[in-house]
Amino acid sequence: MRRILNLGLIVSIVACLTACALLAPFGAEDGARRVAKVTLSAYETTQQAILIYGRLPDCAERTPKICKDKVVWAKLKVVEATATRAISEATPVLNGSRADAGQLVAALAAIENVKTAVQEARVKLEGRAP
Amino acid sequence: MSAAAVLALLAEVIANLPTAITTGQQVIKLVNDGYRQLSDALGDREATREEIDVLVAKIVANSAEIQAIE
Repeated sequence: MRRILNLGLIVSIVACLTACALLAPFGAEDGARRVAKVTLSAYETTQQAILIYGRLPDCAERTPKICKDKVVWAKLKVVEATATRAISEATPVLNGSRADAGQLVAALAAIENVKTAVQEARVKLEGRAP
Repeated sequence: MSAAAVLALLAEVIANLPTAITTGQQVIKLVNDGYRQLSDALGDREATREEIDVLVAKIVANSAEIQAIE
């Protein structure tokens, strides 16, 4: 399990660094848009996973009960709602109908916050120190 | 495989997942697999405006559903 958590952390860091590297230079808007599109597409899967977990009625011993811990679940809902707002605001930029004024970075950061919150929730619900 | 085909495949897989998922690891694996498959599918191709609009609409709808869960 530790190995999986470490791997997850490494993947997140690499994703952040890649996004930063692509978004930082001037004139890299096309590249930034492409990264954002892939991330946005994959985020739909993240959302579905949250949705499925939030509705799992089963309380089997090894099932992390994300929605059963009200504090954890409330935080997840807040970061998820924030990410959805950021994605909506970034949509015209993704479609190329508006210049990027920071919306792509904001959406990517918000999505990363959701992923981090899911990881933290898992750690907390599994009884580990964060 | 096109991005739209991958999305359709993921949707189909996810629809059948609730009874299959038993651990948090599987959710994270699902997310990571989604990233990998979509990156592979998109390659250097730009997603179309229609694909983005459909995706955003789905995300907004899912978000509303998540927020409605007590």
